[in-house]
Amino acid sequence: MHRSHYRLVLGVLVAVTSLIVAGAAGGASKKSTSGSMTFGAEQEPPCLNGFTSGCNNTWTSWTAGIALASPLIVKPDFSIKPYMGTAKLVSKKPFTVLVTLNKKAKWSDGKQVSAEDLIFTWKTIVDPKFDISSRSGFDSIARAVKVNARAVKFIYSKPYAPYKVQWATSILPQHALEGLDFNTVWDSNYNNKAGQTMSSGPFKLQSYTKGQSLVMVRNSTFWGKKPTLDKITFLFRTNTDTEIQAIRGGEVDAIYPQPQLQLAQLRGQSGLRVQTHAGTTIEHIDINTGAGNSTPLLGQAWFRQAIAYSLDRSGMIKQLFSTLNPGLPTLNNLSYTTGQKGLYVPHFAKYQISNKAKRIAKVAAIMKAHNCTKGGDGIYTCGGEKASVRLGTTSGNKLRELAVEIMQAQAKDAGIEFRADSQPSRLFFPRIAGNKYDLALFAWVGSGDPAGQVDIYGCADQKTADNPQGIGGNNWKNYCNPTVTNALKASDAALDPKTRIKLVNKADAKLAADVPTIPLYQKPTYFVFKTSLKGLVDNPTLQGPTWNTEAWKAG
Amino acid sequence: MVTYIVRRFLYSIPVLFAASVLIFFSVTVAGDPLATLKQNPLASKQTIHNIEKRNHLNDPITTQYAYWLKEAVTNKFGSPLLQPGTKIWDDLKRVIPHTLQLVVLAEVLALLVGISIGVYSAIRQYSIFDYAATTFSFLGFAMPVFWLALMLQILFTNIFIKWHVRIFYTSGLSSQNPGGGIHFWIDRLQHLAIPAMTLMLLSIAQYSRFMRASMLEVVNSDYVRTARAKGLPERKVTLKHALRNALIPVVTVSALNFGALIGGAVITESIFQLDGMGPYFLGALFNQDAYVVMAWLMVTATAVVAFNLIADVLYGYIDPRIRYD
Amino acid sequence: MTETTPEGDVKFPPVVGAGADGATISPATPEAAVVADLPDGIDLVHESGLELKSRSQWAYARRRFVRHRLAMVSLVVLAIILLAGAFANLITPYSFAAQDFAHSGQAPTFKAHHFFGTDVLGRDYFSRVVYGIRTSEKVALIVTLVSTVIGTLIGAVAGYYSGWVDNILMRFTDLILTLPGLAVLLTAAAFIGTGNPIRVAFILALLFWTALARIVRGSFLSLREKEYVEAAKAAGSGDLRIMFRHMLPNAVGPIVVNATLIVGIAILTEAALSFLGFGIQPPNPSLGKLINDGQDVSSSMWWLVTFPGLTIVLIVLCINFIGDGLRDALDPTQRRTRA
Repeated sequence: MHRSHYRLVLGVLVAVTSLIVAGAAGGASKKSTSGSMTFGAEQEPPCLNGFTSGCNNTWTSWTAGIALASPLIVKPDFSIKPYMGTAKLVSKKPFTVLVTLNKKAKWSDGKQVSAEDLIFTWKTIVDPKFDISSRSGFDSIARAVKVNARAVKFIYSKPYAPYKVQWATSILPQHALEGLDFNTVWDSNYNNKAGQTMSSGPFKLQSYTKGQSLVMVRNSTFWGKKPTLDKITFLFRTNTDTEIQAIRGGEVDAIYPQPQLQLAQLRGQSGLRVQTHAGTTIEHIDINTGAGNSTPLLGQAWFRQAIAYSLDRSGMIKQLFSTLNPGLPTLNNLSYTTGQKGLYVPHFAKYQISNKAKRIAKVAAIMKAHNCTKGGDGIYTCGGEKASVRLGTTSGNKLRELAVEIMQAQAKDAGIEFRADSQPSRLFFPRIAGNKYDLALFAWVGSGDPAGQVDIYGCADQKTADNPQGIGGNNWKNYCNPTVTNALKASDAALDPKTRIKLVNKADAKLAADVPTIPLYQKPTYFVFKTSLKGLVDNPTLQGPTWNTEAWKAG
Repeated sequence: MVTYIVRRFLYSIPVLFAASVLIFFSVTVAGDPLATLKQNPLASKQTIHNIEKRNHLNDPITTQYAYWLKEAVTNKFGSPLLQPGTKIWDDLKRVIPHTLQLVVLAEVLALLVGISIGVYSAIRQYSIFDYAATTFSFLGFAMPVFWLALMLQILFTNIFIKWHVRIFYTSGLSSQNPGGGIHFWIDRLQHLAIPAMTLMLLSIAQYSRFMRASMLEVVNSDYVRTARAKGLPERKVTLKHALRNALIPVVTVSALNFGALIGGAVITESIFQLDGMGPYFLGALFNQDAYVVMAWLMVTATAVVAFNLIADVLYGYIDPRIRYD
Repeated sequence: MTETTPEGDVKFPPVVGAGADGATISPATPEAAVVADLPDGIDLVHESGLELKSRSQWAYARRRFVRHRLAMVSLVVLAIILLAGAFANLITPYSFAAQDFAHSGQAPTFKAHHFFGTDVLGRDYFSRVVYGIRTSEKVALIVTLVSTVIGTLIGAVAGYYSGWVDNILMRFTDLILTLPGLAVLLTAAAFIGTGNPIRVAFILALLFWTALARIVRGSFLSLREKEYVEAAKAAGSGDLRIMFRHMLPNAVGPIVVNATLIVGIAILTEAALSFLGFGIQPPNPSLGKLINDGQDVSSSMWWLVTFPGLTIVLIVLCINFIGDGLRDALDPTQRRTRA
């Protein structure tokens, strides 16, 4: 090649390099303004109207959703406290809840947050025209009576015990949305009809650049404690490796990632703080006790107990979370979480045998009592049926995959075979809902309140073509025990907290005996942020990390 | 020539139509697009019913195809299944330029570097440089792209942690406040640099191999020998006669590559969070939005067909031996 | 000039991974990539029916290949790696699934034979990598066989019959080529599911045959004009017999080269799929999946990404060198002369 061509190539390279270095210098000198921060969001909201099924995503409410305040708020300790208002049970018969809004509460366009807005929110949520993702609670409201400009009495058609969780729902502005198609109107902004952005929260939406970022700026008309930050920029960092490099390299100031092993490296890094809690998402194994499973042994309680005994859940959790969250407890109750003092009774603790030899002996004793014999491969056979079942989970979730591999090894030691049966979630869940599984490891996203458990563990009171499992719409275990069903049903209608706890734990004790499900652990939450930021407190409930943005300060 | 282009263009139409049939039927037959929604215990039955009705999901598949095709042609692919307020075309319009920026940057640099290496390797065949270049390009082919991307990302993060110099960003398209004009583009370049490096490695490897091979071919051809025999200086022979002819196949290949890269940088773009075609596709896949997946596949298929056409025309244009009939 | 893509007369080096994300389908973009015409000597074989000459032709090829030093070294290295995978159960010190929490996350050491260290569950990583080779090998083998058979069949039929048969088959091939390979694979994986190595292999194979189909078609188009084919036809041989007994042996060079390269592409693509979470699922370790798993703890346990990564690089590197050597050996028209 001719020399001059080299010079050309060289010249181009030098030019490019110097441009980049110039940019680098510029980038290094650029300092973020003191009152703002960037937050790496692990998922991008598909669209902003979190009420609709298409946009419903935790990150929708954790980012743009800051602009839409709710009457009640779930605190990090699971308690539900007044926020933009209150919700009080004023009558049990008919079941009536009085929702009152804070006097000062107003929208960023100056209008009050009013009784009309409360009623409008209810009506919008139950309107069959709209693709609302969840209507729970609101569909039990029969009518509403306006008490004054800021208070409404909601009269329910049937008691709805978790009404407090229900009223931790954002309130919609009637004047901005009335008459518009709720399915599409708030797709990429929260504007009123005059094009002003609406907010009843500490921050309002400034801009949303799809695929890149969402910017929230201070809402100067916020009714509560004045926020100190000027701006929170959410940068979408949906690849977890990238997300972690971004906080390591200071490209974002905070992240709220799913648990994963590589978070351990952030713990040692100076200038970063990691908060972690056992959350309300319950990782568990569901067992298909009936049709669709691969061996009738799963229909036998003793066999399911043997499976539970064969697992060293605590050992597994210790190994998985040794670097991330060494204190993560084993969950031994299906209805309450370990943090709920006085409510949590460890019914499943009896299955935890940490000593390997004793564990194997316990399973052997059960197997012997049921005339099972061990084959040449070390796996039991009981009455012609091999103790071999499928265990699946959502593939791609590394912690779950590791959990499956650990449990496979543990069960094998005890003479029970777990055959791997994982699939991407798109294929995994339909198979579970269609009862085509044996053992399935997945999670229930909970709120810390056991309402609606009857849906998961109750038997069918009527089977229809549309709903072959009857009322237990999510009871994919083919499990039915009237004691459990009745106790759970009664608990949902019980308004006295003590009676309710008693009923729930009664059902839970029975579940621990029958083992249609084995609880494993509460998925821990991780909140990683720069130590220069103050006021950030993890909220392991669904309320999420941005529940108190008005208290955030940049160092 | 013009007739040829017109004919090739017309021929693309049935190809794309066939592609649309293939895409629609395979994606639709593969499963219920609402499976995940239906599994959600809280999902309202009414909502599911609304969505099914709106998108004709309970109609026979041929009717569904007709609706889809109509929507695609008249309404630019319409809206995603679950977000009726969003327009698929708006999203595509947003992500395609981002992908183009990356691909142009990576390909132009790769062509420059790849051609230089290839030519030099050919001139100095079996020299140390040639062997080094061969090994380098074979390494380039053997390196899993995602691996390289992650290594580069970690490398530049560690450089930042150690020296606090921000040479390149490891993710995203722009900084928070990139500024305007030239500052915006410098900032953009800092963001695109590592992903471009990742993409370039493979392209450089490829172009240098192609260039070397075609250069060798040309150098050994009769007309170059004649030129040399005429006593022309070696430099002139190489550059004027050999290089020009040897460039033909590389140019064609790069045109094809360009078309393929529009939908082919999925991994690179998503690792570096570039809001291009790749992350958009993966997002649709994870949300299981069949409509977005189908629209995306159609757009990339169109890009491939278009660049095939361009490659053909280019080939005929620069190679005088080719005649179109 | 055909109507599809340029068929230049330049012979490109066929190489693995011609595309963006290391998961591309065609070994070399234009079908001109691989020799369309074979040396005339081969034709003579059939004309004269002399076995002797045939052997000498192959002997030449063999000699040329053996002279290609890099290719020979690569062949040896690759053979060692592949044999290790094939006999994984004999050579690994541990089972790939044996967990030992007490020794998790150990760096490579010769003590206790943890040559590649242990992973987060204390499993011996050397054993896992060797079993990973076995899985990748299995996938690559199936992909290569299936795609070669499909590609050869379609290419042979299209080239032999030409006319409308050729038109339809080649338009179908074009159609498959318009779809971005990795995206199609991901879609298939997301909607149909993955997990099983055999299923993954078949999905890959269904996309990988296109380049070969074009190459074989090219060979057959030129071969069908040869006298011996005319002669066979005149003698009343059936189409199938002519295609597979007379013509196919003369097109075997490019087929073999292509098959070699498919092995490399299959391994890289499987790794990419696994990396995106759509590949082979546990308990089978595959090389891509191992990198994907090790990723999470790569900052503290570097060996978890390094060893499977290097293994992939080494395998594909060897395959490319072998492909290079094969091409040189089977295509003597590209002489190794100094410019």
